Amino acid sequence: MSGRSVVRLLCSAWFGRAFFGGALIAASLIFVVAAGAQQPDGPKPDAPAPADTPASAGGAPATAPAPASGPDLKTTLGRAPKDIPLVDPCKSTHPPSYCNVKD
Amino acid sequence: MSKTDQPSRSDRLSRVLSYLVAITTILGIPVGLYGYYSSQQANRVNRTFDFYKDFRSDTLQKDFSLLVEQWNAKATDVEALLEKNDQAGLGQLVSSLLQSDEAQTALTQLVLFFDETYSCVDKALCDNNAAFALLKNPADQIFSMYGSYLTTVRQHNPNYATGILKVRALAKTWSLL
Repeated sequence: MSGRSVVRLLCSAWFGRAFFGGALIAASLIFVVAAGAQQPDGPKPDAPAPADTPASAGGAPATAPAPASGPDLKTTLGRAPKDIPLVDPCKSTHPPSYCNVKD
Repeated sequence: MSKTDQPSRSDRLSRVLSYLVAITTILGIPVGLYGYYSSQQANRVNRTFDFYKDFRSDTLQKDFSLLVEQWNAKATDVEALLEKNDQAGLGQLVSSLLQSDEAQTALTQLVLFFDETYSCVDKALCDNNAAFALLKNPADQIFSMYGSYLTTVRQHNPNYATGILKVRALAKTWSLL
């Protein structure tokens, strides 16, 4: 048996094994990808209302976006919303020193 | 003729199969890894969203609303102190807001919540960008209102309210997934 035919024999045996091995690996990978694709992309249907949508009960927005500039919230809505600070010291003209604290 | 053709056909088939194997392997491994990391990432986002749901739960919303309502009740005083740049006065006002047990408990609950949240993000069990999008703003609001009190306590106990500060300082990171 010449050296060339030995190499050919080895290669063909390797390819044969590699083919089945490759098919096995590919099948596993496809399974992993399919499992990954089944993960939900966003909030679940039973998730609470997002911050910028009206809450299911009560009518008042959960966290309505605070207007950058505009009418006072107190006068617009009749009363202060429960979870929006009316004054933000860190955004005032003279922010207190603690606003710059970084951990 | 057929005897000489047979090995050549077999060789060709073997070569085609080997190419297929190589292509499948080369493409399959990155695609598989991408799928694996995507699923891991989705789990991290879900975990962060669970924290957000906790924040929106009745208990924490009650605490948060209590602190905001107390703050809003003194909005005029705060504005006046800010106009005068009276930081000591603002600190005293904030301390007076936190005199009641109810307010102290509410703040403690929120501090603990943000400590847990940041711990999750820090250990890469939660997603940084999801935490940035969902929880940075509330942390910012709490610190903006009660920051003077929190920094005073931190002078004696540097680990206090670290979560609020860290979540407040979160920045969006680039991600392939």
